[in-house]
Order: sequence, then C-alpha cells, then structure tokens
Amino acid sequence: MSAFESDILSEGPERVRELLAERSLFGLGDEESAELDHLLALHPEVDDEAMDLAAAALEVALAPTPLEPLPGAVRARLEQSAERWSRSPAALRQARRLRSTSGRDDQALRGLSRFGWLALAAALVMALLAVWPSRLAARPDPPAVLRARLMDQGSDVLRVSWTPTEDALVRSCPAPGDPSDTNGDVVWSTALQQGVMRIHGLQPNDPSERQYQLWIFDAARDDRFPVDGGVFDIPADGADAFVAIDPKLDVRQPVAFAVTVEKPGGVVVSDRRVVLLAKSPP
Amino acid sequence: MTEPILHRVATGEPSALAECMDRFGGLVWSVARRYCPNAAEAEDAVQEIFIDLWKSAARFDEAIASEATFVAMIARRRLIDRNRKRSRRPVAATLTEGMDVPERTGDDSAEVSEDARRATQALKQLRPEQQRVLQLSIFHGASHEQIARATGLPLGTVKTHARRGLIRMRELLDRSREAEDGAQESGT
Repeated sequence: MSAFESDILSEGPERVRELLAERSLFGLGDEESAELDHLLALHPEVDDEAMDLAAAALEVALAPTPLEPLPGAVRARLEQSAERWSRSPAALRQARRLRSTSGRDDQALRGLSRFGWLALAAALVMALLAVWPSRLAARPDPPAVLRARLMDQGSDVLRVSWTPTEDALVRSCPAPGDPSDTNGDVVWSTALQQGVMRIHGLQPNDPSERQYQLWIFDAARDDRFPVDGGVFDIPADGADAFVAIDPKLDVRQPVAFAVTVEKPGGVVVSDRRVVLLAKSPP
Repeated sequence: MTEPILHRVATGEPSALAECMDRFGGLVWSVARRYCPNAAEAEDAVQEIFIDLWKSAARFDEAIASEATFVAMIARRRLIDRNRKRSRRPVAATLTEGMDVPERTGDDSAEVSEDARRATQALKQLRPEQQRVLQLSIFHGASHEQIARATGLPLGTVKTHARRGLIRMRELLDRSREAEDGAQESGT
C-alpha cells in the first residue's frame, strides 16, 4: 500500500463525505473528482448518493410556493423532446426490460377470458413451432463455456480478479491464497457486451431472503449510477459458480465490477453492501 | 399520497411523460430559474433535466426518497454541471443578509410537503451560520466566493460550513426517517 493510500484510508470516510457534500452543493473540479472516485473505490460502504438527496430535499423544502408553472413555449418544446425520447432505442429497451419483470403483464393475462386463453395458447404453440429451430441454434453457451470462449478470443477481453471485502458473507482465511478463501475473477468483452463471473467461496444464499447483484462501473457514464449487471445466486454445492453477466445497459469503458447483497429480485439503486470488488487496471 | 409517476415513465406508458411534466414542470422550472442567469439558459436546462429524468426514471426507489426529491436531485446535478462548465455561478436573486427559511404555504402533494417538512426541520437544527451558507448555496445557487462576499465570512469558513452543514443535514434526515419508520412499525 502506498503512503498516499495509507493516508486516505486513515482519513477514512470523513473525507469522502466532505467531497460528496462539496459535489452536491458546488460540483467538483477534475482533481477533487478523481480523488473522490479513488476514495469511493476504497470505501464502498459510503453511500455516494446520500448527500445529493439531502441537498435535493432541501431544494424541495426551499422552493417557493406556489411554484411558477412551466411556460407554455418551454412545455411545447419539452413535448417534442418527449416524443423523440419515447421512440428512441434506449427508451424502448428500458420499457421492454421493465415490463418483462413487472406484474403488469400478469394482470393483463388474468383479465383474459377463457376464449382468450385458448387463442393465446394456440398462438404460443404456433410461435414456438415457428422459432424452435432457430432458438435451439441460438441457445446461449453455459457460462463456463462462454468464459472459455471469451478468454480464447483474447484481444478485447478484460480479466480482473475479485478483491473480497470484509463482509460476513465472504469466507476469509488467515492465510491469503488458501483455496477456501473467497476468490475468482471477471472476464468481460466490451465488443461483445458479454462476460462471466467466476466466484469461489462466497456464502450460498437463500433466494427467498436475499440475492447477489452485480454492478458495473462505466467510465463513460455517471459514476453514481453503475450499470446493473444482473441478479444471481450462489448454490450450496461448494463448487465454483460461473455466472453470465447480464448488463441492462451498454457498457463502454468498464473500470470496476462490484457484487452487492440485495433483496430478492435485486434493486435499481443499491445501498451498496459490497462483498466483492474487481477493479480494471488503470 | 399522489400515485408515483416515474415507474410509469420508465415502462413507457404513453401518458406518463406528459403527466411527469405536469407534476414536476413547476419544480424543475423553479430550480432552473434560480441557477441560470437568464430565461433562455433555463429553458435549455429544463430540456436537459427532463431527458436526464426520463433516462433515470427506472432508478427511482421510493424507499429511499420521494419523487420530488429524486427529480430535484437530477435537476441539481445537471444545473451544477452546467454552471461549472460555464465557469461561473450566476445568482438569480439578490443575496441579502438575514434570510429566513422560506415557509411553504402552497397546496403541494403530500410527498412534497413531507420532504419539505423533514428538510426544513433538519435545517432549523443546524448552526445559524451553516443554515445561512446552505440557504445561499441551495436556494440562491451561489458559489463559495459569492457566499463569502454576501456574508463577510472567509472563503475557507464558507467551505467548512457548507460541507459540515450538509453532512449534518444528512444525519438529521436519516434520524428523522428512522424515527418515523420506527413509529410506524410500533403503531402497526
């Protein structure tokens, strides 16, 4: 550990909070911004959105009432922007993803009449028959196979090792490198937008109580909003777990991967109980 | 309690974007006007803020903050970023001595009032100099230098009051939320 890292670790989360407060109120310059990024990586327990929300709550509290309405011309321009946004690939992709995981479709299905159910079943059979061969051909590789394929591919592929945190779910042995230690790596291809996590020694989870979730920090995006890399479970068989990464957005410049513990189904904003962290080399 | 709109925005409901503008247009416009030097800049900022909001709508978690607070956070981030790029922080209103915490009198939705109540209470528990610095920063969008000129405080002191004041605000808001959650649990 460098003297610099030793210094900032000893300063601890207090300096992180100061920088977060400064960012929330006035914004940060490049130097302070880089310092904050570095500190947040060292202190994943700090909620990097908390100060922004406190300042925003005060903003709401201090806003004059009644609020001045949005001028008509601004509203008209905004409606044009809304029209463009609603047709954009990003909006359509987001909507598809959320609809597939929400209960709204279930509600719609419950509303079908018996005739509707029969028609739907027939349509599903026809659809399955139509796509069966191509779906079989396109069935994804098992994660361990995908990992091997990505690693063979070489050039574009990033491989980084996990650094376990001190969370109770992480199995840590007195001797580093002990085979029962928590370890593993992340293999990722930005060109293919595919990747696989290999995880050894992380405590198995009961999916009805909690699940693990991967977050990908992308230098091309706002670092306060890592990309959701998917929810997964660790089985109790003790074998290495191979988990395919399922990024919900395009990842362009991955700089770090973090595994958190979340409620079943995962979350859209994590409170960041990080158990594993893997940082890309600078 | 008003029905949340941001999840409907995220799932692409056709009417949700217009409803989102209806509900939060005034708040976003109000914040933008205070941070921008003129109406033209505020108009551009409002466009950017709403696009940020639609992109971020799926991240909203009502267990963490109200929609109004989430919207204000998105707006503030964009406005602070714009102001930094402009390399100056214009102040829309005149900085005056002895400003009080504005009292809310409008008929806003319950969630806005709830946020306002918690934050106002927390602000009032801060030291007076911290209150003033935060009001000048947040309500007037003032820079360190502008706050130092308006208050006569040294620049370093302004920075300290701002940072420590907001950190304390965060702690008080957390406590307030925890106390209310505890009261709700014991009441059920």
